[in-house]
This record gives sequence, structure tokens and C-alpha cells, in this order.
Amino acid sequence: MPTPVAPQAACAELLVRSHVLHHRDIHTSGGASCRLEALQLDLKGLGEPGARAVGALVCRAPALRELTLARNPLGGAGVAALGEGLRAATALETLDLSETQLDADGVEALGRAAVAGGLQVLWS
Amino acid sequence: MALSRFAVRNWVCLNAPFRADHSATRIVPQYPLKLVRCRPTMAWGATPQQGAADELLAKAATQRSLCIMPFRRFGADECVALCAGLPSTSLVELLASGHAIGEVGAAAVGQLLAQPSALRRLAIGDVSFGDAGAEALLLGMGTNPC
Repeated sequence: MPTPVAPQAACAELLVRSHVLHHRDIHTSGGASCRLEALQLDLKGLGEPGARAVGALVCRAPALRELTLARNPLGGAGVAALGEGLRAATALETLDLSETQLDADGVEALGRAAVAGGLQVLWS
Repeated sequence: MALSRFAVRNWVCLNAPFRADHSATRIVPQYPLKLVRCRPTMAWGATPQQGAADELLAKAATQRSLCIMPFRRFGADECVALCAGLPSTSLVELLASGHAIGEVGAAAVGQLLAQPSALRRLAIGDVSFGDAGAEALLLGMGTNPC
């Protein structure tokens, strides 16, 4: 009988290199969106609602290149909610999700978002 | 110990003492912008009882990067005052992680993000930030859809 592998261990290091989209469509229109390029929110006690809020925030920051959410108890549902926002983050290059209780569903949602966008490095 | 490590890596990540080594070292080549190479202006030492935000704003007015050390006082009031003044400065990087700014401070940061400013790199809040902080940050940015 195979030993069940903890999801955290299964994706201890996952490197996603998207070769699908080389051209990045940077949205410059819309005065309301901010020009933030890096947002560090490590160890902020963010759960699923927080992840959803960050996802919505990422939607409004089209120039965001780096997002770190390490050491937050996002959980699989939180990461999936975040993934919805990440679809719009076409400029995102680095995403740090170390120690966020990622599970298989979260990884799948993220994979889709990564392929849709230009994500190059994913820490999980 | 943590401080010496911070001094080496202060241009990489404010949370360097708390992060696993692999994250800190691997992120460096992924972010080759000039702005991460500028040395942050440190806000060290005991905070004066009054004029803390004024002092921070004075530093922000002349620098591109501002790092507010975690042991310095930087609460909701200081955060609101600083965020109100930042759009008129050319500050590119604000590293204020490790401070409990609360929902009020988070909302002020959100309002800052909704305005045109030079700010490109941001780290705020501490472990008490939580879901409420993230939602306040989002609300502060306004209700425009993405």
C-alpha cells in the first residue's frame, strides 16, 4: 500500500516556465489601476478571504511582477480564489506561495492561471 | 544575528531573516530592476513621540526607498499620515513590514495605491494584518472593477 504523500511535500519545489506567451500584454489604460510592481505579504495571517482580496487587488495592479504570500494559511480554497485574480495578472513573473498549505486543487488552479499569464517562477 | 543578515540582504527582501534561504537567494536574479539595487533609507532607533510621520515624510521626499525597521513605532496613525503625503513624493519602494497598521492603516495604503504615485514596491503589515487587513486594503483602492 503506497504511503500517502502530504501535498506540501509533493510540491516542495515546483518550477513553472511558461513557453506559451512570450509577448506580454501590459495594460496601460484605466487610470484607476495602480502601477505597483512588487507586493510582499509574507507572514500576514491571510486565510481564504484574504487570498480572495489579494486576488482582486492583483486584478487592479496590471503591472505587478512579483507577489510573495509565503507563510500565510491560505489553504487550497484560498489559493484557488487567488488563481482567479492571477489570470488577469499578465505581467506577473514571480509568485511565492511557500508554506501556504497548498493542496492539489490549488496547484491545478494555479497551473491554469500560470499558463494563461506569463508566470515564470512559482515557489510553493 | 538577524540584523547582520538584514544588512547584507536589505536590498533583496525586508523579511530576509524570516524567510527560507532558497526563497531569498532565488528571487534575486528574477527581479533585475534598478530600484531593488538602491539602498533603502533606514528609519532606525527610538521614535519621537511627536512628528514621527513628519520625519518619515521628510525622508520619503528625498529618497527612492524607505525601510521602516520593525522595532520602530509605525502604527495606524503614522501609516495614514505617511500615505497621505506619499503621492507628492518620488518614493519608489516602501518597506514597512512587521508593523501592526490595522484596518485603518491598510485602507490608507489602499487609497494610496489608487492614486497616481511613483510607488512600485510595497511591503506592509505584520502577522495581525490578516483577512480584515487585506480586505480593507482592497476596499481602500475603490470599487472600480478590474
